[in-house]
Amino acid sequence: MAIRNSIRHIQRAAAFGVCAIAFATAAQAEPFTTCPSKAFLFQGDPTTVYGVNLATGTYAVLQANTGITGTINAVGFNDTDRYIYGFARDQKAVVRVDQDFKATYLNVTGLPNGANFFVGDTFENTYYLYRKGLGFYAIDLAPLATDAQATLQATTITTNASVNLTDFAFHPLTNQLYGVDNGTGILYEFDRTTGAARAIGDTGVTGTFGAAYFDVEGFLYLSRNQDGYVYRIDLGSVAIAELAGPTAELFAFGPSSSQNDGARCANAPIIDEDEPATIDFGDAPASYGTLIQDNGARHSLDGETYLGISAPSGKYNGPDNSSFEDADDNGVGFITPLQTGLDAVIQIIASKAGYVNAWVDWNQDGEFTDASESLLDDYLLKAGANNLIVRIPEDAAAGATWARFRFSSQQGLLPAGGATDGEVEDYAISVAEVALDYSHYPSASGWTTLAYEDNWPETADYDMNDVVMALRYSEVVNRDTGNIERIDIRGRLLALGGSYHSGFAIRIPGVPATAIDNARLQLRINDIAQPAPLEAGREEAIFIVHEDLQKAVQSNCSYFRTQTGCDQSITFSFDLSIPFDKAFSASNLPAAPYDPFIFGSPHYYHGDAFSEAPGRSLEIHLPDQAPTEAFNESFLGLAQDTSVAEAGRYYRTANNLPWAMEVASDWRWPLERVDLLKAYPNFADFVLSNGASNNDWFTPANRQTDKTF
Amino acid sequence: MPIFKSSTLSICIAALLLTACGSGGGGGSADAGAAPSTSSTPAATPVVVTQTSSEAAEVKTEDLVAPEDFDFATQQTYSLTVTAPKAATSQQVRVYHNYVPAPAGSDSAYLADFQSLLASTRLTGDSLTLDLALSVTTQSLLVELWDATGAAPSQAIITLRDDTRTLEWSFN
Repeated sequence: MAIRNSIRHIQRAAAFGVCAIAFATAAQAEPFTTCPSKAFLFQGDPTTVYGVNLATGTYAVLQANTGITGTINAVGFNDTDRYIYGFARDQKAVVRVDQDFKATYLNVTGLPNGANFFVGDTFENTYYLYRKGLGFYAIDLAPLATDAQATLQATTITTNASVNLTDFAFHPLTNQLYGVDNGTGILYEFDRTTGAARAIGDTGVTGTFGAAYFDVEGFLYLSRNQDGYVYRIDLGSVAIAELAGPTAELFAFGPSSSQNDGARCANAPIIDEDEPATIDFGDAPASYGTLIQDNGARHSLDGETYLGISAPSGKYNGPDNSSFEDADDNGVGFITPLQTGLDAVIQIIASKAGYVNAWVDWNQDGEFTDASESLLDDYLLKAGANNLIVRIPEDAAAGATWARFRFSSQQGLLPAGGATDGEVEDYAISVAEVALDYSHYPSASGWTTLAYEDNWPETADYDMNDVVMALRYSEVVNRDTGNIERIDIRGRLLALGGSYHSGFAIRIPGVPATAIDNARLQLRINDIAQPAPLEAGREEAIFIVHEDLQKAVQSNCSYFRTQTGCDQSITFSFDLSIPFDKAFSASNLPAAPYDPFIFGSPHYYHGDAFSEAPGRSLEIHLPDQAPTEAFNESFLGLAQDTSVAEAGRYYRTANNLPWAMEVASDWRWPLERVDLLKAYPNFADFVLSNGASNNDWFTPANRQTDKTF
Repeated sequence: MPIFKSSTLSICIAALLLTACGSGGGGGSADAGAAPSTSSTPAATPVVVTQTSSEAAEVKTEDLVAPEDFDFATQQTYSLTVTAPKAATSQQVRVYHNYVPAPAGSDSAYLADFQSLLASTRLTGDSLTLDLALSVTTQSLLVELWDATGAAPSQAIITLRDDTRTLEWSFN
C-alpha cells in the first residue's frame, strides 16, 4: 500500500501540475493553530471544504481545491497534532489535511487492498476507519510527529462490522465512538478496542448521515446528506440517553450534498466566545427554548435580514436571567389589545422580503409547542411595514404570556432551532378578557432614572449615586369603564454608592391601600416572587420593593457600580404588578413616576442627625414631595434640611437643592465622590436658569465620560 | 435666607463663568424665595466678579443656588388632543417618540419604533386627549390612527415647541 501510494503520487506529480502543487503545499503544510468551533464539511467530487457553524447551519467555502482529485471522506480532526485525517477515494489512500485544507497522501500499510472507506474519526493520535462488511481499523499517527513521510501501520480491530454507517464520531467524554445506522436510525456505541457495537436506542430519524460531530458538552450532531438538516442528540450522559431514548432533534439547516463527511475538534464549544458574536437569540424564559443548550431559537446575522428598524447585535447565547431586555426587539407592534375571542391588529416591520413564523403561548404552559399556538406559518412579509389581523383564541388564558416571532429567508422554522439568517424576537404580552388601553412612562421600553443622596438631612456630596434606580411604568386602563386595571412597574438598581443602608419604595399618592387587589399584587425580584409588598397599616398605597438595598446586591468593590474598574452586571431587578380591585378612575391617578423614595433600613445608623437608628421613619423623596405617613415629621428641618410642611416645601437645602432627582431617560451617574457638576457641567446653567437653558444637561453629549460610571 | 452665604457667593461667581451669568443666570438672594415656580427668570441678582479658571473648576453642586421652587425636572407634560371623524370600526390612537422614514413603496410614510410607544388608546367619540410626560430631549411625536381592518394607519408628525404644552392634531 505504501509503495503503491508513493509510486502513484510520483506519477501524478510528473503528469499533473496540480500534484506538484500538492507536494509544494505539503512541504509547508501547517496544522490548525486552535481547536476550532466550526465543523468542517467535506463535500462533492472533487472535494470542496465548507466551514459550518453548527449553531445556525450557516456555511462558507473554505477551500475549493484540496490539491487532490476525487473525494475525501472519513475525515476526523486529530486534536493531538491538529491536522484533519481522511480517506481519498480516487487513490484509496489516507490523507492528511492542513490548516489551508490542502491534502497530502500518507503512506499506510495494513489496510485491505483496494478498499474504500467512508467512515472515520481520530482519537488520541489514532485514526480509526470503519466499513460495513469489511472491518474496523486503527492507524497510529504518532510517527508523523517526527517524519511526515513516515509509513504508518494499520491494525485490525475487528472484521465484524455490520452497522450501516456513513460516519461516526468520538465522544470527548466517554472516549467511545458513536454513529447512527442510516437505515434504522439506531444509535450505536463502538468500543474502540474491541470493535463491539452496542445499540443505545432509536434516534427517530433515518437517512444518510454523512457527517457526525461532537461538541465539548457531549452533544452529537448529524448532518443528513439529502437535505442538509443538522440533527442533535444529547449524549452528555449516555446512560440517561439510553434510558430516555437518544432522540434526535432538528437543530439547524445546513448544506445538502450527495456526498458528505465532516470533521470537528470535539473539544471545542459549539459557539466560540473568543470570536465576534454573530448569532441572534430570543429572550423568552428558558422553557420556551431560548438557550443554545436547549436548542433555542437562533439566527445567524447577515446584517440585512431582520425585524424592525435596526439590525440586531450578536450574542453568544440567550439570557440567563429574566431581567435581560433585548434592545433589538423592535419589529412587532401589537396595535390593538389582545382580547380573547376577538381579532387583533399587529404590525410587523421587515428589513426585506422574507418569511415570518410566530407562536403565542395561549395556555401559559411555558411552551410554544401546542398545536393551536402557531400564530403565523411561513407568512411572506414585504420589506417595511406589514399589517396583519390575527385571531385570539376563545380559550386563551387571560394574563401575561409570551410570543415568539422568527423572520428569515428560510421557511419551515420551528419555535426552537437554528436558522441561517434573520432574527428572533420574543415578546412578553398580555391577553385580556376586556379591552384595555395602555400608556407607558417614559415609554414602552425606555427608562427613567431616579438618583438619590442618602445623607439627608446633612448636606450631600452630590455625586448623586447613593441609590440609582431605573424605572419604567405601564398603566393599563379598562377602556369601557375608564378605571385602572393594573399598573406595572419594572425597576433595576443601577448603582449603590452610599454607605448608609437604604430601602426603596414607591407610593402612589392619593391612591388608598384599599383600592389595591392585595391577593393578586405581585413583586418579583430577579424573577423570584416576594411577599406582598403593600405596606401594612398605611392609608395610602405604599409598596416596599426592598428594605435594605445593601443586602440586595454584592459589589465587587467598596460600592456597587460607582467606581472606575468596578463595572459589574446589574444584579437587582424587580417587577411590581399592582392590580386594582376597586373602581379607581385613571383620571385620578397621579402622573408617573408617582413617588419613588428611599428610606432608612431598620436598625441601621443613618448619621449623627438622628439620636437613634431612624429606620423606616426616615424617608428621602424628590424635592417638594411630602413624605408618607410613615415618616417622622420631627425630622423635618434637621441639619441642612429646610423643609416647611405648611408651605409644601420638602427635601431642599437652603440653596433649594434636592437630595433626589429624576432624569427622564437612561443616565450615567457620576463616579464615586465626583461632584455632579464635574460630570455634567451644564447642570449649573440648567439650575441657575430655572431650567430655561441647558435642559439637556444630562445627555451623553454633555457628559464628561471620565467622570461618570 | 441670607442674601449671600460665602460659599454661595463664590459658587455663583463660578457658575456665572460657566454659564454666561450676565444673560440672566442666577445666584441666591433673599428675593429668590419670592420667585414663582413658573417664572423662567431666576429672581436672584447676577453678580459678576473676576474669577480664575482654576477656581471655577472647583465649583460644587452644593453651592449652586436654585430658584426656590425649581423642580429640576427633565421631563415636561404635554396635553395631546387627537381628533378624527367617527368611523364604522373602532379606532386606535398610538403615539411614539421615535420613528424613521418608511422605505419607498410603503403604505405609510413612517415606521414606528415600537419600543418608544407612549400610549395606545381607543378613540371614543370624536377626540381624545392624552397627557404625555416627555423627556425634554423629545423633539417630535409620531401619532397614528388605526382602524380595526388592519389598513395602513393615518400618520402625523407633531413637532414639540417650547412655547406650548398643548398639542393638537386632527385627522380630518
